[in-house]
Amino acid sequence: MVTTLITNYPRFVVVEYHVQDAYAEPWGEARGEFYDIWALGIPWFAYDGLWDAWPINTYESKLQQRLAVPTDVTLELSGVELAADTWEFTAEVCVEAGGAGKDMRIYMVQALDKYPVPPAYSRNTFQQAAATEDVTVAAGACAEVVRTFTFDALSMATPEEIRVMAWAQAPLPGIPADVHQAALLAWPFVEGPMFADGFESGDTAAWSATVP
Amino acid sequence: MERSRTHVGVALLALAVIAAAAGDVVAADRTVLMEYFNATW
Repeated sequence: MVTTLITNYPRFVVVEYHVQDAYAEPWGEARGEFYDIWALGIPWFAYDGLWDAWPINTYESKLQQRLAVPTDVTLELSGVELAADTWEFTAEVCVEAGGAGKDMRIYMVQALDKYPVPPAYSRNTFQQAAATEDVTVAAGACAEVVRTFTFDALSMATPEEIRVMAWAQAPLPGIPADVHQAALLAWPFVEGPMFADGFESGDTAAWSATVP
Repeated sequence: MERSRTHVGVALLALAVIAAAAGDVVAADRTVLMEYFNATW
């Protein structure tokens, strides 16, 4: 089901945390406490930090419902290689000029897709988290959060499955904590520009060719 | 006839201003985050 949603909805970021098993990580267990998952039990699915989306036959309708909620926050994630297994990632978080300034907690995590298998439905399994950073962003302004991840041997064994996600969430101690925007970068983290030399913005100052 | 043209021009200018103002409201595409907790027992 989750794989179907990932396939069908490009504006959808999934982070899977294993809890109380061989693949659990302390940060993921703490994240479960943040959401008080054991009050209802697992599997437990939070959409944008707001509520458990159970039962499974409502996952898609609840995703569509959430996708339709306007946001005034944008988030762009980019990566620069420092070494073969070490990358620096920048999350640029902005509030649109017509929006409302707000305090946000910026999260950045690394996951490994299709791990562990079995079970076959494993997607974007959490591996490590960077320290969060709280930012205050005014309308029309941006903030940058820069973090470095070194990928371990497990991740580097299948680098094509490495995923890095970032999100901007209300800086609260637990659920509900509204996620305003999220982004995902997949290995090799390069998103080349579609156009060059200012073509997209209309700034042609850097153009060297002239039309007779 | 000239006055009508002036009125139409003013009306179009007003519409353009309204459209520009409307374009200034929030318009970002939301990407939804799902955090999924599970175990393989």
